[in-house]
Amino acid sequence: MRSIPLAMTWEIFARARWALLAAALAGIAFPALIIALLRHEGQVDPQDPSWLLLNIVLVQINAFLFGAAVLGGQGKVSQLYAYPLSTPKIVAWRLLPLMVAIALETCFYTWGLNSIFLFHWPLWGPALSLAVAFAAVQAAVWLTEKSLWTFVSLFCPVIVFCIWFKTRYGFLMAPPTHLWLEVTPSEVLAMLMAATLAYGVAIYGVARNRRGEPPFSLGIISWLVARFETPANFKSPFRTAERAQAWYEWRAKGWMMPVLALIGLLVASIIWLCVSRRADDLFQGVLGCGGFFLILAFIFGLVMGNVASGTKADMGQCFATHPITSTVWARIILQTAALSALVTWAIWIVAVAAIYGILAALRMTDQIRTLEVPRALGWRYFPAVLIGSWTLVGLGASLMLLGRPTLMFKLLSAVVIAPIAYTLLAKFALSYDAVLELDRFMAAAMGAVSLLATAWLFAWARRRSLIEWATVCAAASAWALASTLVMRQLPPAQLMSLPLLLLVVTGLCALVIAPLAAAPLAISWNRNR
Amino acid sequence: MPSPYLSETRPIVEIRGLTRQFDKKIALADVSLVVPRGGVFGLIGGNGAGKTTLIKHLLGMLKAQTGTVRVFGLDPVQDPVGALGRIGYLSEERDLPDWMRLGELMRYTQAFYPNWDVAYAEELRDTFALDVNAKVKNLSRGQRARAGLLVALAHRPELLVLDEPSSGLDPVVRRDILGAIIRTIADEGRTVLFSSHLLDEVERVADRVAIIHEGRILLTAPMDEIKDTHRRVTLRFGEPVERPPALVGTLSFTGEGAEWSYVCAGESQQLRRAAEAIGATVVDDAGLSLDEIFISRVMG
Repeated sequence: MRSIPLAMTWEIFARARWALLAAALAGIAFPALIIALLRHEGQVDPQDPSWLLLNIVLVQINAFLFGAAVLGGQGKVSQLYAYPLSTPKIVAWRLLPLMVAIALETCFYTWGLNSIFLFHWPLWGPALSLAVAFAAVQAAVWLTEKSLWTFVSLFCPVIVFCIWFKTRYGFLMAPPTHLWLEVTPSEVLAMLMAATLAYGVAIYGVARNRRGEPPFSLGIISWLVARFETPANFKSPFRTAERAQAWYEWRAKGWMMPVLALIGLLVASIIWLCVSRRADDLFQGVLGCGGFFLILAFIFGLVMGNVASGTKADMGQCFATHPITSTVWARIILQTAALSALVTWAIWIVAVAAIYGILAALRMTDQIRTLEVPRALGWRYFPAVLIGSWTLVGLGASLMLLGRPTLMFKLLSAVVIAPIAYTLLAKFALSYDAVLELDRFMAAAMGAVSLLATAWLFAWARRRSLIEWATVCAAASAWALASTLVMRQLPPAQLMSLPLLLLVVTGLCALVIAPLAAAPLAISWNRNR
Repeated sequence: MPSPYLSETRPIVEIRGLTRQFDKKIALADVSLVVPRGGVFGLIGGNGAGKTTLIKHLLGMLKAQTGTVRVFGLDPVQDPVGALGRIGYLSEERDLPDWMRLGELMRYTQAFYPNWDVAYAEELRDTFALDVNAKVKNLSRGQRARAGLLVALAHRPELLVLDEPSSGLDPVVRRDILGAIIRTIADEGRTVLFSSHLLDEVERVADRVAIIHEGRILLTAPMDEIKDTHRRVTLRFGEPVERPPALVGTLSFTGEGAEWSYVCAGESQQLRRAAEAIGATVVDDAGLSLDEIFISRVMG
């Protein structure tokens, strides 16, 4: 290849071709699925504000998927620093091909959905503005590379883009009123100016990094760190290796979940203050955070189980060579994860109680409506969130401790794809009675698989001497107790027979104890490959 | 000079028939190796020869697919506490927790080793000029290597495993590392397993060497014996020859006409007698550096 731009463009697309293809296909398949399901429910008016909003949301989801593939696939720009290329040229040929790719992909996405569902969704406006948004995000990333400001700086172009995009469809704080069918010269000019600004910022950022200047900083974080950092304790030794490892697990990872929960509650409160200010919304929002914590628990579990070093997936040598057994290490990781989940749950309970207390003091509790799931579960909702958090954090940690990203990707893909496939099958291919039968079969199958898998994990861990008989007995007792309590609390089953209900409940309760065997096995498998 | 090896004691490492395969690539093929107690054992080989794979088996990071690995008579996979508690390890990657300060790293690592010597750790920190308040992520490559070496040495391990410890480091850091090794072996009965492809370093410090190539051990012997039994002899024949006659123990040869140089495995007297037997005169007979021995063994 004689041309440098051609070589750079080829390099990006050769490396990221499969990721880009997969993202483009997923980007169109996901909206197609949602639209097909909505259409299956009945006829819809394309001018209905909810459909206009759907267009706005789906095009941004597609952009997020494809953009993530583009950002992840393009590799580090630093690998180009040693080449005989000016910084503006590096920036231009990193940005331009990918901006074109994003614009084309957005056109393909819109054209595809328009062709399949006979929509008239806009083509050029979203395509051009998403290409510019990519340039702005990329510029922000380069400007704050290796700096803690990356997270903050990413918000700026994203928020500006969201406001810009939403206002193309009507007023910002009102439902959309029309499609963005025509791109006016002033809009083109605005996008050109934004792209030029992004180009300038990107050149500045890359030039700084290329010169080896320190990461972008306003000095605030250094000041905060210096102000609040506790003095390091070098003198008093840990009494045992277990205590040292527990200290490590909490300092490195354990604190994250409670802090993220606090930040989440704070951000939600600010959003509530800006958008709603209704007592009802506040209480519902805080109560609904229980569901959010379950998602957070799984993600945090993946963080807790990360014992890799650098970019490699397998266990770092520093930890793998510590004279500590996999059993002890797994116990410490699970204890830290459990403590973290408990602290997060306590923060949430305090927030719920505080808000309820304030509303009660203001005699506003009559305005409170509760969400469907908390209402159905009643007081059981609170312990259910705690036990659910523990289960998900434990399973997430065990999954990550395997240190096998391909296997994990396959498992998580199966978890995402299976319900979608099941929904499609139930919606389009089966009668109501057949769906009921299938539901029962799937519930039984999941209960049985969960039970058998947990039993197998315990048997295998025991066979490899990774857990003691006492642990097996304690876990079995906890499982039996939890199953009994859940069965006693459940209302009489209407759609399930008692044996089936028993199978489902015991299967779910088995997942609660599964991490006790899964974590040491996963560590052992990762550590002794 | 007394042998640094106490041959009557049980070997510190015993590997028997170890084979390891990654997909279709055979990383180790039926490797058997014994590392005696005491002294410095050099494991030399090119990139991808299998050195790190072999060392990972010693540390229990890889499980033997076939064969057995014993360190201090223990299986490091089955008994990590028993085996790893007596090993100090420094790898080429210098994998250390970035967020810790050096003092925290020392305090944290100390908890895993009951034999941690606080005074010795401080002495090493002074020698390596490391700041106790410095964060690991802010250390230079050389400082990181010194920090890794500090935590590997401070519990006075019976076996110190150094996997390419000095590659990519400047001469000052390399001197520090080699100095530390020499101090370590000065402590009676302790053993260093030192893997490297920087052969001059190995030659300087190793008492015993194993050459590994493409997953196979080509040679294991004491350094002195290796150097005594590998020689370059230059022979002159009565008349020019197109291809020189075979000489016992030949690893490689170069030359033309009547004068040819052989790199041979064998002692000087043996080679001289063999040369006479094929009607040649020995015009030069010299020892080889480890570098030359390695190349002749590996390249042929």
